[in-house]
Amino acid sequence: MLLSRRTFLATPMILAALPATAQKSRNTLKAAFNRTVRTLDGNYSNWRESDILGLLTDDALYAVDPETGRAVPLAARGHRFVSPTTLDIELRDDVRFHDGSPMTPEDVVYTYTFLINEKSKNNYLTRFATWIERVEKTGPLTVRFHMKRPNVMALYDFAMYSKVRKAGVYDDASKPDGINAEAQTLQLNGSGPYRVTQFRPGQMLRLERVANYRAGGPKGSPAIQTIEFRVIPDWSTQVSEVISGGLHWTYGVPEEIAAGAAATGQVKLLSGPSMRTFYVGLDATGKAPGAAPLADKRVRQALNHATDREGIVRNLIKGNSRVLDTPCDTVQFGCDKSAAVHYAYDPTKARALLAEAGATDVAFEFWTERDRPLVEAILAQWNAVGVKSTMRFVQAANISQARRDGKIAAEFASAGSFGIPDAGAIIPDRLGPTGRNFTGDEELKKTVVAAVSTYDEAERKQHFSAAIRLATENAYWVPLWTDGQIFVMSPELEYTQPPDGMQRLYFARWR
Amino acid sequence: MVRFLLGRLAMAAAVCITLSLVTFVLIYTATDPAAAIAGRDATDEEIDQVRRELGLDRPWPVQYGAWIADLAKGDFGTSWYWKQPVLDLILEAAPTTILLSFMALSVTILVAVPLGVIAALRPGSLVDRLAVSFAVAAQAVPTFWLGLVAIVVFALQLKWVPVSGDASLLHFVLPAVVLGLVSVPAIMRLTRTGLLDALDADFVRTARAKGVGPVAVVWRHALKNAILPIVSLLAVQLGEKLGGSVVTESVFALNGLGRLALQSILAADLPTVQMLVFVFALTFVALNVLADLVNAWLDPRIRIG
Repeated sequence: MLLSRRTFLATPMILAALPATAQKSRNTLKAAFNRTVRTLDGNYSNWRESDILGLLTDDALYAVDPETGRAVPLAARGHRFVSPTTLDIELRDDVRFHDGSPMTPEDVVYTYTFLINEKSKNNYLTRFATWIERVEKTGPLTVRFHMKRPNVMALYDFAMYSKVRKAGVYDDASKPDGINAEAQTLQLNGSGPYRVTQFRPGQMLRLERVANYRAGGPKGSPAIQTIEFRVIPDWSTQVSEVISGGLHWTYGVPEEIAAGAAATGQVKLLSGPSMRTFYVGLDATGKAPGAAPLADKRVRQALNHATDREGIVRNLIKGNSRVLDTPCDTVQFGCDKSAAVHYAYDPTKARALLAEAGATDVAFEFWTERDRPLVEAILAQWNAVGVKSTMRFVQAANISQARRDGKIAAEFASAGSFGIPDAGAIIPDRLGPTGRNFTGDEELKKTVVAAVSTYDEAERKQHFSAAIRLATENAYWVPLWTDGQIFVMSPELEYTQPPDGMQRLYFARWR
Repeated sequence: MVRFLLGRLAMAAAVCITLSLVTFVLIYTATDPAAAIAGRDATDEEIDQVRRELGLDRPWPVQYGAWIADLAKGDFGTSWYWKQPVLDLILEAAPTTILLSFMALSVTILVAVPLGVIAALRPGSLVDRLAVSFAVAAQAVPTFWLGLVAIVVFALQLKWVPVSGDASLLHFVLPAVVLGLVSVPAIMRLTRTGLLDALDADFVRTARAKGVGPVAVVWRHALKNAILPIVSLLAVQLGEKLGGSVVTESVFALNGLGRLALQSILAADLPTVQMLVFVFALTFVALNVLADLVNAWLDPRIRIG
């Protein structure tokens, strides 16, 4: 199904064979998004497109170093934990907003006080409100974060989930609660290496390089003057644009369409990693409809043995995807592969485990909102060992609702970790004390909490390893694979993709 | 005439209200708008926050009543997803769809009517069979595939037109041809059938007996009578195109009403979807009224009212 449909879609690409006409004149990089961009304000969007834009238009206090995966100062000069719950940040004195004004401690205090204000309704309210108690200015270039609890992920949270705004930017006495959440939706006063010069929501946006952007920082000195993004929903059209020279860069292209484009010899393909981790979440509490057999560890282990992950990756996904045994990406800190139990593809063993558990009539709904062909493949493999699971394909929103209502026995799920190379970006959300944990395992929850409550790296590793061991020994999930991402680019463009999967276009250059 | 128009106006209102109610219920049945707007990776707390913010925690009949009340006051609402007035969104996207629709309809008429006439003049001939085969093929090929092949041939290889976008009139040529061809089979077949019937009619025989030339017989007498159902069908076809050509607009990255509708449905953006359905329904009713008026003008035997 997957191959035939995609091959069908790719046929027009294979037919095309003509000289590339990609133009780098005017030093303009033309890129495409597959999905709409409705706001410029990264504080009000958790979409990947907004992450890509945010890296270009905003300088957060910290950034993730693509080489080391560590959080490094960006708008900040450095930090110091005065105590486990008191964090001092020193700001640089040369960071400027796009309106020319300097970034001050007042701006940082305003931003994080705003982000933890329930009335702000920003996308990351919960994330920050759970650990920031208050923020205060402590000097001409210093601020202090008073924390509700120790948070080893604090610097990553600064880097990936928040954009520093100029003080007062959301204030509007005419609005309810005095807050205008849309203040930066269409016109952004950012602080990054690129400023927005044109934005038509859902259609296009144009960025211009900031002339006096400081050199020597983690974002370097961007070489490209102008970056234009267009929203083109159809992958084949995107790739056609790259072939014709109308685009230089696009990402996330399906493998068959990308291969068809490559066959023309007029585009460059880059198969890059992504930190998006896929797994089958199981209701080990057995409470969801049809999930009763899943309360038995042997049934869950059988499902692990019944899933030919290598085969699916090799034959269907291809690209840069990697099979996982862990409930996290092994490039993440703390994601200890050796702590995980490996379940080899072994249908005979799966059948034996099901028989041992007396599970002769296992039938439940398998929920998914994406990748129908991959789920069909998993279900066929499960069916082969006697598990009569059926697919329920719905929109993402419906899965959220069903999850809250406790209706999901099994779910094809994923977590992107926002490109944060630390197991703390995924494990606490899925196996900690949250609404997404269906293991019913209190010891596991405690172990996960311990892993994010200490700043000691050795101790964290130890807790994460214990959590991974618990999760995999009990087969609470069927860990699957990481997602790859394929870039189709103009041969004239030089672009590399770091392991964290984040797209950093400020490093793009012309050959 | 006034009674006729008032009757159609009442029907339009009934259609719009019924459709908006159905849309409202369908969206609520199909998805959780708060979760759709909050995004894929949103936490439960974030989704609840969106629900409270948009008033989605109220019973849906209350929400629907509020929407109708706002509409009655001329308030088209604000998009939950785009955070802009819905009217602005529709007004921004409408010109693209209107231009595309009229260009596509022109393609349909220019291809379908002559083909239908040629086929009717030589029924059962090779020309007739070729015309019918072309119509069947045009109907069988999926629009998205035709669009992609058209891009490869005309945009990539021949370089006559751009691949996608709506920056100039030239950008509309390819999508208009693709969209226009979709309607060719129906119009062509109707033209052929209508003309065949008309050519057998007594008045045509009389005209021929009076020595009227073959061209005048076809164009002035037969086609004029055969065209009445074609006008009605063209109105429906135009309505469909104005109602948003989702696939064509997506393939060619045109920012029209079809794409706006698709994006809004996927995001469960109820205010925008509701208003789009309302506008589409009104368009259909208006075009049908227009078709009735044109038919009355073409055929004095038809009396309106």
